[in-house]
Amino acid sequence: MRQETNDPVLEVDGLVKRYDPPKGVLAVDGVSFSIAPGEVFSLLGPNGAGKTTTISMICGLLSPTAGDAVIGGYSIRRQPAQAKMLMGVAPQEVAVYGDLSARENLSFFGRMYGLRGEKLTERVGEVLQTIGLADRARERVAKFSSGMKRRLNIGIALLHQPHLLILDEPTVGIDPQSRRHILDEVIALNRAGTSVLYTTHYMEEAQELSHTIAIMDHGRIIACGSHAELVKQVGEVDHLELVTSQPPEQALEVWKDVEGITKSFVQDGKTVLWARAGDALLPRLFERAASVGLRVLSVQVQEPNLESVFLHLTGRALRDT
Amino acid sequence: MLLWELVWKDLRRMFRSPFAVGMAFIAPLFITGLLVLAFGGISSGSSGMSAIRLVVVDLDQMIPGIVAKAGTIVTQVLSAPALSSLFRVSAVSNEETARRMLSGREADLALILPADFSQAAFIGDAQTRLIILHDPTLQVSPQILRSIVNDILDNFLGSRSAVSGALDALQAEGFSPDPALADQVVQRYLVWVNSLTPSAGGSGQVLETRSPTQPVSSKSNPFLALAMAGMMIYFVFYSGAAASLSILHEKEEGTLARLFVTPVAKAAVLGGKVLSALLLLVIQVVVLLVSSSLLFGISWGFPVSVVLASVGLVACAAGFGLFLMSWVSSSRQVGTVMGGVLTITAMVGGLFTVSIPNMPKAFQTAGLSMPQGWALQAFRLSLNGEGVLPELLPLAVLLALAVVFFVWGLARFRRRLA
Ligand SMILES: Nc1ncnc2c1ncn2[C@@H]1O[C@H](COP(=O)(O)OP(=O)(O)OP(=O)(O)O)[C@@H](O)[C@H]1O
Ligand SMILES: [Mg+2]
Repeated sequence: MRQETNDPVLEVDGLVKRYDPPKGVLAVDGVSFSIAPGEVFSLLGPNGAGKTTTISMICGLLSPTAGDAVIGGYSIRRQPAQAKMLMGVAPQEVAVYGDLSARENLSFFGRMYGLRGEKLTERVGEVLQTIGLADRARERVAKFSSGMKRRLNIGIALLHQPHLLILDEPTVGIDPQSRRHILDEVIALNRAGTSVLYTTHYMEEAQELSHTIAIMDHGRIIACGSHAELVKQVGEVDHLELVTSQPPEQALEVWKDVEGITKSFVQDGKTVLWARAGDALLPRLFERAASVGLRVLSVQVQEPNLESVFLHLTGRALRDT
Repeated sequence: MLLWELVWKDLRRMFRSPFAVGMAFIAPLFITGLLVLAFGGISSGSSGMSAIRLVVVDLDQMIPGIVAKAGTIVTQVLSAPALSSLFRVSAVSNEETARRMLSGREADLALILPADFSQAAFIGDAQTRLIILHDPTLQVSPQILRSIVNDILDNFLGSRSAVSGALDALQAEGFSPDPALADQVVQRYLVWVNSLTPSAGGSGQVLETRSPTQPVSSKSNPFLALAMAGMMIYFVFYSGAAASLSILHEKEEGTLARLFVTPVAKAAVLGGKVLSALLLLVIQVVVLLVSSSLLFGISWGFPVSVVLASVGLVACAAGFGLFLMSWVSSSRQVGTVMGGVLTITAMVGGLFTVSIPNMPKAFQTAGLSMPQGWALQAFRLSLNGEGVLPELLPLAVLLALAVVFFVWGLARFRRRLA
């Protein structure tokens, strides 16, 4: 049933959202991207970047101030029913009926997507297996752990085998085991052909799952590409983390004006230095340290990552915001 | 089909909430049940039976020369059809049996008529005592029995003083009446009293109108039925609001947003809410009408009239609930709104004062400023045994209010959920 064409599953074109116009927050400020069939696309950004607002417009929950999203050829503004049929959405906040059982929740939402009879029973059974809740299916959801609720929250989005699965920060606030389970599930679903739109503020998740990552900040996409393409933007720079016998602030004073250093700061008790690649930096650092009696305990040369990309582009650390 | 899925989900959730079920079904019956107990209409230990079970121990001895026996007359009056909804009388021959029946909870009250009862009642030359035995937890029914028996005794005393008064008057006029004549007069009077009792084909009407207490059985007590109607209307309005409160709850829990990302139209989601509120209230009204008639013996009136009143109540309460909830911005405020608005409108509507007899007519009129007042009016008419025609006015008002509330409330919700 999958489309065998290469037309994008989702095409987002100039989405803008201003809450409570004209003076309200400009939460999304002209976002455009597209998702190819079989692609996992992540929106990575700090709290308040506008990820949920973007997704809410795509799935028809919020009407955009401007722009449109087209899913499988159907505009969410003009053909919402057809467009919604192609999407499965797991909202950021768990949204399930606590006083119904897991099976009742799945059956109910399955019917909302038009599943009936044997097909419905079959899909509910399969999804219960997928999310690992088959043996708890009859229990009221209110008694579930938060990890189990999150899995059910995702399960509801899978019932009607959508072309595009939208997961809004599905791993927030749960234990590592449940988190791993969810990530593996996303990978498996994607292998089976589902396209995924994933939002997160964990760069590790974006890196592991995605074919394409869009970094969002203040309602805009500030960079977009594969992980390799993104880190290349800062890839010309070496990234060093040093631990010294003296306090890192003192070491920073010693090293910050060494030739070739482009950026220096203290993070997690370490002195972090960025420098143009290719320079014979390390001998110069040790030389300077020896001259003032500073002992270097360890040096780590860090691979550039999405964190450094974000820092590079915004001047702020992703995890601090 | 799709609507039914939405409705079925809501009903399941509602019936799984012990609080909602308690407020919808148990509270109105429980409160009316307390009223019944306070009125003494239901005796303790009897289930669903509203008449007081009375055993009479008649030890009274016949007085030579007098045709009637005071004990028989009292027993017959108490067993008269006019009092049958109040007392179920049985006779036993001695006090022990009566006491045994009381302690075994086979009877609620025992009345012991002593051997010299006729002597004391007709001739007046003996001091005697009638004894009422009862369970100490019963307060009201012994009082009722006592006042009715007093009433009967007044008849005897009346007859005696009437005769002796006549004799005194004759003597004062210089006549010296034959004692046999006096006897004759007393005898005739007693035959007349006797004729009032049912065994002699009398109606017992005289005694009934003189009894100082209204008979308190619910069958013949319109106030109990009205109290139940008031409670039912209050809690049906409550459930109507609670049903629409689920829109706010689903909004806060995120499940409403989740429904809105499915292909189901927003109108269907809201329509499902309206329909499930209506259905819940229909179930509630049917359960309350049937169980109150079984428990308290309330007869609600002609079926058609009851159906019309119920339709008006259900539509108006569901509409009012939706309208009310459309003004509440978060479910945290709901306690105030439910407690405040529903209670005040119910009060003005007269739901809580309906069972107080002889309230000024103005109260009833003022009640019609509230939807609850019209619902009460509809049930008052059906309880009065009115047919279809008089029901049409309150029904029309209730349906018109329902339409206004639904249209306004839905418009507000549509705007809020846009
Ligand atoms: N309903 C709303 N009304 C007004 N402003 C809102 C509303 N929802 C979100 N915002 C604002 O819009 C901006 C973007 O919020 P959004 O929830 O889209 O961010 P996010 O990237 O999903 O963040 P998070 O990682 O915390 O979920 C924020 O400044 C937020 O305060
Ligand atoms: Mg968010």
